[in-house]
Amino acid sequence: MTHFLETVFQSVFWSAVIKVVFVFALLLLTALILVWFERRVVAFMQNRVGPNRAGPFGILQTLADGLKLLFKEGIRPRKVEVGLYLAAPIMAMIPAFLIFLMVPIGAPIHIGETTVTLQGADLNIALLFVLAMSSIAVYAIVLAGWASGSKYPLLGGIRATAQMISYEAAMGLALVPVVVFASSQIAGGSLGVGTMSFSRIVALQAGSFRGPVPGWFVFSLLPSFVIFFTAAIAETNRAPFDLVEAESEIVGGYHTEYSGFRFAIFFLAEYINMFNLSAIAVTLFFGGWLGPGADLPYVGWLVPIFWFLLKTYALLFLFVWIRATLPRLRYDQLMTLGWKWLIPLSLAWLVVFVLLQGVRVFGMPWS
Amino acid sequence: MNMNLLAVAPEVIVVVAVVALLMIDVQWRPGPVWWAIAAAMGIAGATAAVALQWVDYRGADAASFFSDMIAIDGFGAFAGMVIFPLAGLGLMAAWPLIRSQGGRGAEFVVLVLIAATGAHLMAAAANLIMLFVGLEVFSISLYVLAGFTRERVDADEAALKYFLLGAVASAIFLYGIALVYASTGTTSIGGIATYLRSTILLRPGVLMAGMAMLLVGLAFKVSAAPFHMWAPDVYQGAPGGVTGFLAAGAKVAGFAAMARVLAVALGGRIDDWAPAVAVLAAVSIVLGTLLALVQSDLKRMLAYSSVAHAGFILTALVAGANGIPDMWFYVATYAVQVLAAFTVASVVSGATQGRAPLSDYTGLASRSPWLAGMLGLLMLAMAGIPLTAGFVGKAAVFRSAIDADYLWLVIVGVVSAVAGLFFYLRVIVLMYMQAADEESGHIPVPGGARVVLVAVGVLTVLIGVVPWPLLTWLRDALPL
Amino acid sequence: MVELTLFVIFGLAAVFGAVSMVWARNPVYSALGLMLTMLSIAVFYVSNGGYFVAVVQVIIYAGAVMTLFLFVIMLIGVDKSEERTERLPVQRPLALGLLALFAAGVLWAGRLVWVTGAPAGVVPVDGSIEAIGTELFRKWVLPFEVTALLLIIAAAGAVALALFREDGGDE
Repeated sequence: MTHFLETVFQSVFWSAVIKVVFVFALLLLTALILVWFERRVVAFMQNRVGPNRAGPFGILQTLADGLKLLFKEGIRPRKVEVGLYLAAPIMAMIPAFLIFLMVPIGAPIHIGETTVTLQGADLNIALLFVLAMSSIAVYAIVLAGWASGSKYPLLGGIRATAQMISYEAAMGLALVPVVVFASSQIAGGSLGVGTMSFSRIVALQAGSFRGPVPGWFVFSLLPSFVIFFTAAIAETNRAPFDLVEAESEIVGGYHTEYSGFRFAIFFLAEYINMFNLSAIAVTLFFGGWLGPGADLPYVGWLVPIFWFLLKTYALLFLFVWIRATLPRLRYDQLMTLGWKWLIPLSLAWLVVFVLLQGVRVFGMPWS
Repeated sequence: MNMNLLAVAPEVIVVVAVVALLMIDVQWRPGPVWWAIAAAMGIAGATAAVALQWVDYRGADAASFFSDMIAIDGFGAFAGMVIFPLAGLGLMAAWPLIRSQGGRGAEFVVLVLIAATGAHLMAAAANLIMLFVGLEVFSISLYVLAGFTRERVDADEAALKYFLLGAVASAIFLYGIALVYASTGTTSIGGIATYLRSTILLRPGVLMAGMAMLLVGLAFKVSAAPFHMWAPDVYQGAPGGVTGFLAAGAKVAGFAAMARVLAVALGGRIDDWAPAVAVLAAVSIVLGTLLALVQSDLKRMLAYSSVAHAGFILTALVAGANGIPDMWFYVATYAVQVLAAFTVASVVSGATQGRAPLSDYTGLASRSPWLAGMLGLLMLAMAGIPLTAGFVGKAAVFRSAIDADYLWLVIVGVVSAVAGLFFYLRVIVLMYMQAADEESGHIPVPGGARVVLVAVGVLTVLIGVVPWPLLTWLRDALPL
Repeated sequence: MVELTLFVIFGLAAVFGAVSMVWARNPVYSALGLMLTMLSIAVFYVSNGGYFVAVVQVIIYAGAVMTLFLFVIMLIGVDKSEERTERLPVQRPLALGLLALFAAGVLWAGRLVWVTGAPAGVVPVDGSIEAIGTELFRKWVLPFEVTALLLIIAAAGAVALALFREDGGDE
């Protein structure tokens, strides 16, 4: 058995296939759980019970809903642009899966002589790749809105474009200090070549910040994390930034004209994106899969995965909590927050941070 | 990397002025006086810097800096000494237009200053990439300036036409750079020249295509026929106050870049491009002259005459590097003349207006004898009447062409110059020999325009009578 | 072999995208065609080892520029398809003819020899971020900084054109 696995994972092709299939299954499963998780949490916050009938604690509720959507008639309105209308849900899924391929979900596993990384691909530009994919994700929404041939989806699509462009800039800028900080961690206090590889960024957080506090980047880069997380909420079109699908104004936004399974795909993609961004935040700021107990016998390889999922779900809880707490912004408030606050803030933080690093490395200019 | 702050000093000074202007304007809205002060300081500083470059590096002392990106040589320094004062004159001439634009005037000043910077970068570039970036900085500023007064549809049309066609020309130029790079392995202007001199290309097809594209891209910028189609519409549609700078700046920057690219980088291949340039020159001269004959709008007429003048300047370039001093003489004198001529048009027909129908000028001599006298002088100079700078310029470029054995081009030029007299003289006839409408009165001349006209008038006559100092001087305005 | 396969597939995709950008009657499909071309070019960068350039290509062109194009197309009304009536009926065939002539000329002149110059650099091409950063901020720093001027005019020009009031004044 071990020998067989060893041979399989030695082949680049088959290990890639296995990883992709695994990521696909994991993400679908996560999305199912996440929908249920959100509904339960919001329900408790609003003094309700939430779905509790299907399965233990109602955990199978999403599966039931999904099956129902699968068997529903897929209504295709007459005025749609057929090709793009059908392609848009698929285009929403692809970047969501590609992003997660970058995220290391656990420590590398040793099978015999072979080391298997629990990561779809360890690109040295993973950070940029994630930004690129999340900038492509907007096409699905825009094209869905346009191809529906109806006014509310179009408005939703236009809003999505403006919103995602605005917050992408802040998001990218907030991540620059991470790379700069990584370079100083690598070079041990001086300035060196940084890294954008997720696995190396996780490894760099292994030390300790002060005493028992772990060396997670969030302690050094809190402003970056705050800006990144705010932008992430906007990028995933979650409340309070869900102007894209504000039902009180534009019905369902871009997915108004979608029904049945095609709607379900949009729905899943949204939750997968949320999971992705939480996972990336965990990787960049909260030490990824790092945590105690990885040297336990037999289950040791599972412990990092457990830490990773725990941290990610903590952030997802934050997502849900914010949604349950804050009312939706007005459109001009959304733009003001993006352009007049987040972007200047992230630029200012970048400048301050680089100056601080400079002082740390080279000392004060007069000394 | 060999840094030399003097190499970028003109750019740095202008940019500092621009940024200061923008910041102060955003914060305190101090009004036009402060714009003028910022612009004057920027231009004065940049002119001083290029003058210093000229003193230190003209002739044999030329050198290139910043990893061979920018050169300090007589060529670039002279271009700067033309461009920056030209921007100053352009701003002075455009001042009524700037004041009429309210708070947007600050952006106008900024765009003119940056356009001048881009033009100087084109002239001083030692690398095709640098040249292209300068070209883009310069052209994009001009696109916005052409459409600055958006209350008129024809200004929008002018800006859009200029932008779309200009973008295509820039793309062609860039493609040309790529092809030249493919065939020489470098984008450094000096490197290309060295490579082409030391290597015999057996199948230079890619190089030829690249050369053709570089030529087309730049021919567009200087509005040489048959790439001149945009010029009349843009010059007629753009607000009167800025048209002079559009026309003059494009000529100076475009020909500076053309001389660098053709005469220096591709100098070893002169036998390949000189015939093409000669044909372009002949077509421009003939077409520009013929079409200028039938115009009924002064700005349109000047646009077609600028096509013809582009042809005359190209005539000097067929001689390669030997023609550069003569090219500079013509470009510098023509640039100030065309700036002044469009300034007169903006004074008579309105600084924000596009059209300048020739009927506005009927009997101008009896209404505003001073303006009419100025425009008359400029028309004579552009026609190339002796004792004006225009005559010396034409004589100089023809001499270059004869030296390069392009006699037929000179004959075409001389015949067209004689034909061109008709439309220049027609303006003078209109102004002096026809009666004015009774309701039109005296036209007040704004102070800035007055300075521009007096300066250009004096220069035109002075250089026309004693051209030798400038001609001697220009022998040092050679590229690296 | 892999590189050749990639080149053929994505070269065709790039050409198809470019042609469909010009040809499509609906501006949304034009924008999508352009996006296809941009993405195909990113694939070329990857197959040449330029990962950083490839990702930046996707972020800037596919992510920002094309999204803005789509945004503008949708804001100014997407229902207007292009009108194809020609005012000058000869110009389209004439343009195609001249293009064919030009292409034939280049092909004839180049024959199979396309790249004739000296090799661009003795150092093998390194597409890493470090290498690009070093090149950009050492050798090419001046053109790089001058592009900042482009951004200034883009901002100033956009403000100037957008601040337009009927009376010409501001506020």
